[in-house]
Amino acid sequence: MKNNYAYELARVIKVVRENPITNTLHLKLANQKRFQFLPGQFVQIGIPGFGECPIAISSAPQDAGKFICLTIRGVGELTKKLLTLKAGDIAFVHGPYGNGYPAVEKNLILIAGGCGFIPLVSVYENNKNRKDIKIQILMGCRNENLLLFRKKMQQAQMKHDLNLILEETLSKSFAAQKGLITDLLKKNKLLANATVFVCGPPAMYPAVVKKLLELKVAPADIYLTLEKRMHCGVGICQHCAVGTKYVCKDGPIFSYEYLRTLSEYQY
Amino acid sequence: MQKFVENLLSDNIVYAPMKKEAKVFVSPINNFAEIDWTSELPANSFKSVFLPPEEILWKNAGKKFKTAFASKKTIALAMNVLDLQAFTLFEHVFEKDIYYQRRRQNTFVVGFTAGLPDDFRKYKIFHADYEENVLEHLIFDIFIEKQKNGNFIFFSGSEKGQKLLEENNVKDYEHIEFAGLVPESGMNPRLIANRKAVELSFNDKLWDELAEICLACGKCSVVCPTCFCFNLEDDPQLNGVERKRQWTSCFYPEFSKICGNKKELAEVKKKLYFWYYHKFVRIPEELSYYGCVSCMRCFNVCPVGINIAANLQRLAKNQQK
Repeated sequence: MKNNYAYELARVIKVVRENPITNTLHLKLANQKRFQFLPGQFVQIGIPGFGECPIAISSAPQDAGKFICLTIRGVGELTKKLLTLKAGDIAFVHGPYGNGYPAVEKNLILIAGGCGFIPLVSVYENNKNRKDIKIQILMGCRNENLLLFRKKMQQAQMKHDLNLILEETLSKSFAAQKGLITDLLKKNKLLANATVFVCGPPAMYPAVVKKLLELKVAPADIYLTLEKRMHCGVGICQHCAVGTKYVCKDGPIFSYEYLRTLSEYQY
Repeated sequence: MQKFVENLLSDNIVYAPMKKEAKVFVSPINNFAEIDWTSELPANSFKSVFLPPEEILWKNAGKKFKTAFASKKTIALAMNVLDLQAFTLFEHVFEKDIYYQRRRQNTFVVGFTAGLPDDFRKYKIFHADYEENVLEHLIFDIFIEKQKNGNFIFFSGSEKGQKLLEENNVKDYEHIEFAGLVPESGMNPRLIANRKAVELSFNDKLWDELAEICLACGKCSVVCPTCFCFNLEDDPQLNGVERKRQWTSCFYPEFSKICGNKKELAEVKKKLYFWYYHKFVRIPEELSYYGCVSCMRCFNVCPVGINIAANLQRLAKNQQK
């Protein structure tokens, strides 16, 4: 029987500073060659003495045999400690966990708020070269300093319809508007016949979902990523329960078709 | 019977109901005379035998991890039917949990009944029917029934149990094969009715009224035989770090805390609803089984007298309106 609470050792092979409070760790796992994951899945990363936390994988699934990336913003005791890891250090991980995003069969709209771009970048990388679908990205961020994956954003801006909106200031390096993510939804014509993946702070969801429903996007085409406190990762400890399901096991990605059946998600 | 139990006591840690002052408690026992055979429901349950309030998952120093599994031979003796139901639930919830399973390998579960206690009605069985074939749907190694004439009848529920009976020269027993959680006749209708009453009740006034009086102390979930929520916590020691699994409660303030100190279950109303939802909706959905065995221990310990059976009845009634 597998011990779900045991770690695998991972080597930090590269650290990229995304912004003053966020790093991307490139990790090589002990079983890296056989490692597979779906965009949207996460791993638990920990440091003994500091506990562990779920972090979405931000690299492309195609690279899973070589490395994975975890993009971490230092907001708590553990995540701040994780920002001190350097190339050559050891990290402790187990996973992957969660359901991951469904396969993309229609046009794709990615709506990201702040750190919400982290799991979506893996979806983007996985689909960016497809000729059979169109991709549209709507991204909101507090200010330019907090942007993530600048290089990928520049490439995406050239290739796809990337729309950036900043809450506080305008950007020097990207064409951006000033306002909130919902303003982008008002101003831009959305791709028709599309699946919409939304990831961002919980406060963003009611406004975005209401707007999408107004724009006649079907609840079954809207997918939200939920964040909850998590301990076990395998649907036992109950911290991350949402309705009759668990964020760790059945999520973190849920269709709005399911969520709207629960009283707390009726927007 | 006495000889059988004395044999068990000789090389195992034995937990059994024991009379202390006016109440019966599940405690470690040393001799046969300490055991209470009245079938009175103990104030605490057998939960901590199968899921200790705190256990060490591993110890770490540098890159090395040392995993320690519990290995003491243990017997849960004279478990009543309601606690066996809770245990049967645990067997399914922790099916793939290596720490639970290793402990279980070293544990014998011995159920007991002296028939229904005279005051059984007071437990207000609001979902569980005490049916004739109740044993077929419970997990145990051995079950002992004390008949009205004072005779004991033995049942085995596993190969392990059969072996233990044989070793102790109990040859006259009936073997009962576990027939799964759901009876052939289908899910208990009360299970379905309770689920319906709770599932869409978040806007029911009951929750606001309960939130007014509930202290969110969490005593109900500590005493509940089916509450199994846990935390994983790191405990730094001089020579490394221990990761521990500890009981928690959805009533505790940290339960739903995420980064930025945000808490989904900040209001008492949401905590109460979450607790009931787990028992009456989520568990029945996952396992088609009881998340509440109607032992009424939560009511017995509640400082403000919140009565789960009465609340269920009220939700069902309000729902019909």
